[in-house]
Amino acid sequence: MSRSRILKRQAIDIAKKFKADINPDGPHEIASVYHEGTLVLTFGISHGKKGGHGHLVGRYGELKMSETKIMALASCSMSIDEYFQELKRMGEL
Amino acid sequence: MTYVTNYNLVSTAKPVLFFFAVAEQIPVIYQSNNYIHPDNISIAANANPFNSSDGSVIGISDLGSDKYHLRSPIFITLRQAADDEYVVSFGEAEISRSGETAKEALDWLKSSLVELYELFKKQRSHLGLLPQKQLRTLEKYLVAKSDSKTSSY
Repeated sequence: MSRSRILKRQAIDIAKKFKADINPDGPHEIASVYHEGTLVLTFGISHGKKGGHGHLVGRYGELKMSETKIMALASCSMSIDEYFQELKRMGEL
Repeated sequence: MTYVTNYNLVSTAKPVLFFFAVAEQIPVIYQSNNYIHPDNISIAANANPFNSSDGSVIGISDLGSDKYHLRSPIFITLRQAADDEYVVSFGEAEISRSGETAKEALDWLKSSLVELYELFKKQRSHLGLLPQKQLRTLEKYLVAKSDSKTSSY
């Protein structure tokens, strides 16, 4: 078993990239992502010490994509437009 | 109250084994024929002989919320992604959460179901496809405690 490469740092970077609204959720947070004025998805940002974010990863994860693509999104090698195009292609947008 | 079922999600939708546990006050987990103390919920992810990457199925009948209760139990999957990472998913609503322990992940998921329900209701006229679907699912299960009080005798 290997821990998710998506950590709190990446989750926060993605939230900033989307200019997401952040709402508190107990000790954690929920990021709300808007596209053309519509709330299109939300994802949880954990403030745990180690902060693995495996819940974001995969077709049924909150960001709907593979770990590799989410890392690309966090590291800016995937743009917001490319991400939304991918979501559209998947029928999620 | 929490109970675990052995349920093979990988093959068909038919349960391979179905063990149903009910306790009076504290969460109880039954796994196969073995009782697992609720303080050590993480065992459930490993103890399931039918465990797969999709994890074990856990039924939840209480969100631990002052404001909402569940109309009927919801079923979530719990899987251990690493020694110190557990992921729980409420597949029907496509909502997942992680934690360093299974309990932490589960507690966060319960809290998020309430937070997201309230967020989506506020934004109802501005929801995209996925949040619309999520709200429909949450509305199916969550009931305001005040609503249930007024409708009961």
